[in-house]
Amino acid sequence: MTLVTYLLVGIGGALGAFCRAYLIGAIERIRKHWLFKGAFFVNCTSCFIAGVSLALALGPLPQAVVMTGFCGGFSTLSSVNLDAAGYLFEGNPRRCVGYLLLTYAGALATAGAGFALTHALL
Amino acid sequence: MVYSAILVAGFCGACLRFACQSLPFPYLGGFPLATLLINVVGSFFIFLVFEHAGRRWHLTPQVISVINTGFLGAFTTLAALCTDTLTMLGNGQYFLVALYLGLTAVLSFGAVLLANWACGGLAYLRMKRLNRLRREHNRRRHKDGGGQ
Repeated sequence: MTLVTYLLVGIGGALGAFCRAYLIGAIERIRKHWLFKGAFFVNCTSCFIAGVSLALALGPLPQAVVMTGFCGGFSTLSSVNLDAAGYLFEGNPRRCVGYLLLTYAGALATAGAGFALTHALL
Repeated sequence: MVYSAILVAGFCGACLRFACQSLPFPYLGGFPLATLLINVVGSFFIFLVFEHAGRRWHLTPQVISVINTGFLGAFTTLAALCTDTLTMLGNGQYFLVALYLGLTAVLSFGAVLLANWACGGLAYLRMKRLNRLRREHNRRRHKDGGGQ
């Protein structure tokens, strides 16, 4: 792995993290009483993009930049676990489990949809 | 300013994740051990920073946001979990898929609970140390007061 690869992955990750922070902030401002947190929408979008790029079978460097870099930075599991733990410590275990299940299911579903759609179109 | 710092932190988190994923882990029939460990470790530290480090070191919410949202958010990944799952499903490795998803869900959330427990332990140790220092200080004060 060359330094250029690390640099490009890092730039992708930086952009992904920036987009995630900005979008989650924007969604949380308008969310109010929505069931899903901003991280849910961001994670689903990221997984859709990852599914699309997996189906496109990009070369190793573009794959590293898009999937490992951008999609990896755009999605997050640690924030999901932190939010779920917050629900648990508030005394809402059902919401905690529901949020985790929904996140995993939504992420896998959108990744699969991205992959299948791209495959169908190619 | 915060977003600029998140850019830098995200850069570091992504590079570290890429480096960890490039490590020569033993071959486990295609099981993505690196991604699993990354998600577990990242989940542990995000709670530790959020609950303990922030208070202990009096970090501002902006700094905590940069570390958690920027660095640890970019370090952990749900996209890699999904692509790994799709790849294993394509290879017909259904048992590995179930194992991978189950372990990720349980261990990464368990890491947050472990961090919560660790925060309690660290707070207790700090309280013991402060009480000991207070007792020593009072003892010294009474000794000096008795000498006057």
